[in-house]
Amino acid sequence: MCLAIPGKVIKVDTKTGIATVDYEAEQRQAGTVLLPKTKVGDYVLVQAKMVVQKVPAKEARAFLNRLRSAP
Amino acid sequence: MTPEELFLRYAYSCGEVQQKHLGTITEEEIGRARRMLEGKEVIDLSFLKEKYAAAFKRLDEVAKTTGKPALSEETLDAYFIIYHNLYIDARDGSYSRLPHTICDFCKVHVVRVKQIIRVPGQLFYRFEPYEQEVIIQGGVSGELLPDARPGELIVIHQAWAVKKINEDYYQNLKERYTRAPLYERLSKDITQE
Repeated sequence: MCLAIPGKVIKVDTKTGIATVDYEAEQRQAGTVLLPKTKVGDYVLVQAKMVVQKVPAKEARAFLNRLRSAP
Repeated sequence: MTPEELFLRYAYSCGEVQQKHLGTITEEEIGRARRMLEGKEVIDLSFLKEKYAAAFKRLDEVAKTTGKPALSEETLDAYFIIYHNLYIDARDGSYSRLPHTICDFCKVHVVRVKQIIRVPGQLFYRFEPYEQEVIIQGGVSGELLPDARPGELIVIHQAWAVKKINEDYYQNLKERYTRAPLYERLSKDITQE
């Protein structure tokens, strides 16, 4: 099984291209060199400390809501 | 690469998110998987079978089609490269609880390396699709497969490059296993989804 969880970009350092991604339980930093148009408010998937994919906001929020309500 | 190492490459890429958000694997266990990948610890098959029970169940099913052991290169290739995405599209097991974007992210694809991106301490590949569309937009990590070159075909899973694949071998694999009853059954499950 493989599961990826979307996080919300809350900050992008324009000098370094490092994004801060919020996962509610924690925040992580990820590079944006692969998706340089990443901006605050985007929901993204991160692998190997790098933003690799944007997720539609509606879908990301629905998924996160479902995770929150999981037993 | 042994079949156990190959399995671990596919499985490891899922570990971190499972631990952080679902609690199905602990941080310590991810560290263990990492040490096994790096050859610093002997691969513990019972550990893998416990932590990736669903994958092993599917591998057992695919092994009946290949006629080879579940943990053999041929069964692993048939499972991950030919059948894995069908299980996802059929919403098998926990995939039924996931939205489409996430399911698509979990898929395994064969792609062609287009460009090598090096950032301090890390290596990534940009790629172009080969036969199938790929949802991943940016690129994939080359950490587990650092020696791929532009033009080569590689197998990717969850934004990680897993292995190189020879084009003839891939076509042959496809030829054999897309004609098997399992392929037809899983395709039917998708239709009924």
